[in-house]
Amino acid sequence: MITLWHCLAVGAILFGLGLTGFLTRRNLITMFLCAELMLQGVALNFAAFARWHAQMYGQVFVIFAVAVAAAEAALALALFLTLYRQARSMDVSVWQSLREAGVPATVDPDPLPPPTAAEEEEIVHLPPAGLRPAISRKEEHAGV
Amino acid sequence: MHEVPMEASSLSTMLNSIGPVALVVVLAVIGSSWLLPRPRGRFVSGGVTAWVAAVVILAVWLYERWGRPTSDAVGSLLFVLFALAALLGGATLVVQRNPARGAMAFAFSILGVCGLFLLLAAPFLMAVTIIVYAGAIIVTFLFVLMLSRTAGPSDENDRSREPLLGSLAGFAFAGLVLWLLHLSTPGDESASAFATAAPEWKTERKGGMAKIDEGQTGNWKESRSEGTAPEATTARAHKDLLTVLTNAERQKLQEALRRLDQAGEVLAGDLRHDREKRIEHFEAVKDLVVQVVGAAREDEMGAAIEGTLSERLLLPVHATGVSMPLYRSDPQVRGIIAQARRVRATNWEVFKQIEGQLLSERPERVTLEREIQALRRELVLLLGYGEMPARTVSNLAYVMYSEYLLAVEAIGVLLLIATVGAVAVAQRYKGEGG
Repeated sequence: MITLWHCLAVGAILFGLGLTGFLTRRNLITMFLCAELMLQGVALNFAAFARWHAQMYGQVFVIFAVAVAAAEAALALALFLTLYRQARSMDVSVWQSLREAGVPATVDPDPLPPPTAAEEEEIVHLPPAGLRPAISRKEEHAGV
Repeated sequence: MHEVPMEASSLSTMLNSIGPVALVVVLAVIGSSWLLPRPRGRFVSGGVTAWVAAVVILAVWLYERWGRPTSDAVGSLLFVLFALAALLGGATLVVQRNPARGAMAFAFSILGVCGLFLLLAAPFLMAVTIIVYAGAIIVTFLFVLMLSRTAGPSDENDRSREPLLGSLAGFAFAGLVLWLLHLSTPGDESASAFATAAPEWKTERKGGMAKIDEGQTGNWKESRSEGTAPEATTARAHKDLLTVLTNAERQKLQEALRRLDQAGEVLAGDLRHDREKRIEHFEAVKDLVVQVVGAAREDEMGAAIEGTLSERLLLPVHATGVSMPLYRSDPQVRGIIAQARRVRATNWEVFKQIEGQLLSERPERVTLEREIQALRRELVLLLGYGEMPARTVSNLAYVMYSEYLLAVEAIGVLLLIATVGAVAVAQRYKGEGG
């Protein structure tokens, strides 16, 4: 039979996974999703305790947590957009000049491998949108 | 007291119990540090193997530790499936290089968590989570497509910060929580050892609980002066205290209800005949209820008759001389104790009435039926405690809009501010590049 402790264990592991991802990953979007994963672990704890005590209060807290997570998502994505406009990258280490005083800067020792031919092909090149078509008179007449 | 050997043994039990958890944490850290993206030295197959081994060991340990004989096979199976989906999705999100695939894995994880919400009797939470996170995931997905169109490997996706130390922090946290859960589970040797290692705390708790029960203060004081309790008994007591209504009690109450529902057939015909048989039928009901909630009258020796429910949830056990700590003092237990008292009083009154009616010269059928209905109503209420309210959604709405109205309003304002703030943060000012 499934008891409270099983649900608490799953919630703890979800939180641990999210914490690991948040600490190690460098893509801002992945970090954001890992933070949401931690929230899910906590929400699971609340729901399990609500079930265990046969009360609604735990579920009320989960609803508040979901609402706060939605507000957080809106602000976080807006901030990511601003950061991307400035640095042209989603890498959080670009902003490491904001770190605490006295902490050495992170350096990446290994160079990145060059992109393979398949990866090069994967990139979709979209034509620029919203530009005035550069049509000369001659072509126009020729077209007609 | 004789604390030194006991503390040593409890310490060794605690150390023995941490073994599997520590192994799981080490395996998970190794797997994670192999799997996290980086330019050189990523060892995917080894990492996956380590994680699978960690999950298997964890599952076996969880089963050994908290698994009970499967009385609810379908529920257990669904729980395992949903939990695996949630954990698999989360793990994929953490180690996936491609953020778009990571977002999809996160959506999978959310679906698993929503399944667990359903199993935990929270259908509204499931719906809310799916709606909110489905929207959030689609927006995130758009952001991924918009912002990360880099050719080949990139700094943000193919490098990790401190893979080993980061995973150690995360999984050591999870392992510590698991170990604490293990220690705090009632009904375990190491848990009771933990409890006896801190007798001060325990007696303090006992003293606090004693306030609930009016007539038993003297006994509580005695038990406090006695000091520590034998571990085995405490462990067994803890295990029994887990549920507010055990299966045996539930069956007895349901049997009593069934017998009350048969009252129509039993009372058929002329009430002046077969009195003995009829009284016997209702006496069986009374005895069943007395076994659970106790009797309102004392026995021949003048001692109070206590049912299993009140013995388990409230009263010290006199026979063994060991007092059980009542560690659940939540509203559910208080409610069920109050309801049990009501049933105890009603049971006695109703049986006296029925007996009197059936033995009288002119039994009144209306009075009999009214009494039976009164007892039946109280019994159904007693059975209903310990279950979630059936209409969870409306109950949730009621709680939110009565007790938490201010918080609900605050959350609404917060969402509005966040919307305005997002627009303000993301808007492009004149002259700004980009």
